[in-house]
Amino acid sequence: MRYGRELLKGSTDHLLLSLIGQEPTYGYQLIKEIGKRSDGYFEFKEGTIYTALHRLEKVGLIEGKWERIPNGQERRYYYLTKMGRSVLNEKRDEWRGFSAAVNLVTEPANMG
Amino acid sequence: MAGLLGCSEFGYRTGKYGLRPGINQMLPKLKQYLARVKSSSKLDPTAESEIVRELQTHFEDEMGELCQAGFSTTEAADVATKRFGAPEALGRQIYEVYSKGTWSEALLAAVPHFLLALTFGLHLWRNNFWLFATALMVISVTLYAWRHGRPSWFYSWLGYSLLTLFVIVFLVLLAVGQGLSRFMLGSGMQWVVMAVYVPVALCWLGYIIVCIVRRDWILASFMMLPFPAIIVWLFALEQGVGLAAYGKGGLQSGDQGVAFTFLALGGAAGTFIRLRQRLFKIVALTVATLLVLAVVWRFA
Repeated sequence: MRYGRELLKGSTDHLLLSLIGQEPTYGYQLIKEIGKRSDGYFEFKEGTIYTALHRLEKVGLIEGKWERIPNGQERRYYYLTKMGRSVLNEKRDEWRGFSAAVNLVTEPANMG
Repeated sequence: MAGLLGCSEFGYRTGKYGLRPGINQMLPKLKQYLARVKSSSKLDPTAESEIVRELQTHFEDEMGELCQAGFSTTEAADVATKRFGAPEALGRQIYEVYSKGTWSEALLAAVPHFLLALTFGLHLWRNNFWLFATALMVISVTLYAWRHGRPSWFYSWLGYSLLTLFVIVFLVLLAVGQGLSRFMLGSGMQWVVMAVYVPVALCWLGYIIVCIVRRDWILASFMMLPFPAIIVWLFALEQGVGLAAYGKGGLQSGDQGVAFTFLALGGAAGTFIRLRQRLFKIVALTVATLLVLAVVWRFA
């Protein structure tokens, strides 16, 4: 659905920063986690996640580090930087305000 | 859906921590996919190997999971690449992430042009110490950037370094040729030396350009940005007052014109680094070249 895709496009950074902020993680795990938590609602072309991760890293919101996982192989784990944490907080506030306002307009009865 | 073949023949064992293959053992389909991403992303070698390695680990995980679910290796590779999206589109997206440099990178790309502008604007090209210090700086920065991943701004310095080396070797050989002519081998020896050196140097330059074009022809054009300006100025001055007369310092307005040319090139180089889209980068280089011609027309 076009509307959904546009929404997702605008929310990708927020979703990625939120998950990385909860726990340092790598690309594949991120994709699985987003799919699992959204019950399959968010479907990305997986390559675009890596583009987004590298974009966020380039502007200094996250930092990637190669780390060894239990099977002896290495994965590139992403960590939230200090600037990333503050941008995440801003985005979270922005989203709460936005979704509350949308709810007020579209479902006034539920807002008690 | 699941194929008859298991995944173990390519090392994709089904256990959670089973061994996974390295890039050389990857399926041809996955290798091809990564090669197509690489050729579209046109990154510097360091960033490229990092990204390819990361995408490779993704495919390892994905293949492992799909094989565990009962897919054959061929089916798993099909599904994994399909989920990833078109390799060229991914390569282009990666290119756009890395193609836009920071303001400091833009400044770094502009500095060698500005140094030339300063050299002519303040008539410092007659000052041997200044020329030596500038040449040394240009070559040192180029070598430093060469060893540190060859970022885009490096190509701005590389063009001047090659030119500096060309001129230095030319002068040395000219002196050697003159020496040989005087003491040993009769007159005209310096021209024999030059006749050998110039084609060899041009072949060497051509080889370097081909190597850069293999990564990205826009970077080769970026490196060559000052070349048309220098050639056009040499011709214009020769046609005007003559290079020998100019060399004696008789034409102040010529210096100003050359300085303006290199200022414009510096601006273009900085803009080139700051732009994200390839098309705009091409436009920046084209406009800069046209601007150079306009400046030469105005001052020569």
